[in-house]
Amino acid sequence: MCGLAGEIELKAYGILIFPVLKFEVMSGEFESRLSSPDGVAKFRNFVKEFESELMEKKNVCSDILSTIKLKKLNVCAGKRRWAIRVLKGISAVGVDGSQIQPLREFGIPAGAVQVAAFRVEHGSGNWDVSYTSRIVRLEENVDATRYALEMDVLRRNADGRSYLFYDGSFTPSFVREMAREVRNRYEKAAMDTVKKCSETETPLFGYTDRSYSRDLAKAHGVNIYDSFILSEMDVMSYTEPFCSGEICYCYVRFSPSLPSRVEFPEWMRKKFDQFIRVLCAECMLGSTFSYPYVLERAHSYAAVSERERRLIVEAVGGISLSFKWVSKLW
Amino acid sequence: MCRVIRVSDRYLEVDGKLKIGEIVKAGNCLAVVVSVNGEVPEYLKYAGELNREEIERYMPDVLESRVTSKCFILGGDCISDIGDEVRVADDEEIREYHLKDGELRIPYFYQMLKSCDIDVAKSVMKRLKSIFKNEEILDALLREIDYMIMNGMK
Repeated sequence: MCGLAGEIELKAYGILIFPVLKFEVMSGEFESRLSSPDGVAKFRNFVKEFESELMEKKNVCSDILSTIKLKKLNVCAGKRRWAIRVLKGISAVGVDGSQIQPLREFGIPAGAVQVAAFRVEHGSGNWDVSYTSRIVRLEENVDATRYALEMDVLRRNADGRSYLFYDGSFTPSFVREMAREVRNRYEKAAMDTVKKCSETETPLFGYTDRSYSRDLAKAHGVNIYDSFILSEMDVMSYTEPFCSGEICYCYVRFSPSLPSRVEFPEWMRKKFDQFIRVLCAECMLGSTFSYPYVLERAHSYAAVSERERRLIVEAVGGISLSFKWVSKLW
Repeated sequence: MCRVIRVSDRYLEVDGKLKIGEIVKAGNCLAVVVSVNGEVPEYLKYAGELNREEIERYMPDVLESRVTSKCFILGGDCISDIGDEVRVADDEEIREYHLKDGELRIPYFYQMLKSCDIDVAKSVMKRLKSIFKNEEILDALLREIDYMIMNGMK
């Protein structure tokens, strides 16, 4: 039978790979060839020490993983056919944006953002894509403007009926490093969206395919990526939800690659398993089985191709403003 | 609705499928459609266990492949920009475009013969003939084109 299976215990096994983990076992320089007896011995010691550190990390991850509740989706062999059964009658909207930075080399003192909202009503075949674009002044932050516009488009689609998918986070960690004004802009845009979706009970997912968050790790007092802690999760499984205020998150693993992070409003917690099932079905329709189909499509519509960039430069560059002169205005 | 997506000295590229040989208007330019190019449909990326009908009902947009039409600009003193709407030119617009001081003029004729497929050039001449019915020069040009086609076949 397809559908939700009971909670299962997942065992950690196999070899963990930490391609970006920093290890402090740095041996010093030495004045001989790598292939000399001294060089080879140093090399061997280095690898041994690295291996033992890796084993240590692996044990830590296994310990943490054993404390996390995991569930598994029972998806039939025909993943796409299972997905269309789950998605029948569901309206899904994927929102993604792209941007053009001010083109200094062409003397164009403005950037631009373009956000695409791709809507599909699964089963009926109705679909449309709508665009919202904005020219961004030189002194504005293009990234923050794009984020605010993406959030705005999500809010406009919060109709209490559609499932909204966003490619990214509602708590982006990189904003912590930013100026307060910019940080507030990010936070307000995200919170307004989460609130609107909560008020209208519109399901909303923030999907981060490759997450570098360390929330779980920090909670357990270690400094590694959550996705590496969870790298031994079974394919087609997901974690319990973790909540902080109005935003919750969980990790899902629908393909052999590392788990992805999913953020959602707190109200969705009550029907969490049902929502994850829809999310999984969207991923099963995607070309890689690990990224929601609606986001894949929104991404392709939002992208500003090199050809389009060239067209814009050709069309706007002809005005030939002096960037040097313009930049003196502020 | 089709729109201009690229402009060069002699050609316009239009997002959408137009009929080859049709005279279209973009901005204040008249142009003739010389070719239509389609991209490989994206559904091939998603094809697998689902059949075409299921893809149409659940992933409908991937069935659509992008088609562009290339148009040869008729004449040199016109302006068309990216984003301009493109539609089939009506008789009055074609008449006005080809008349100067009450006389028929086809300044692009030589360049069109050089650059476009001969069938496209014939299609343009036939459209002009349907508007300027009494212009014998068009009959002569059409005969010349027919001769070139026959000559090519030989």
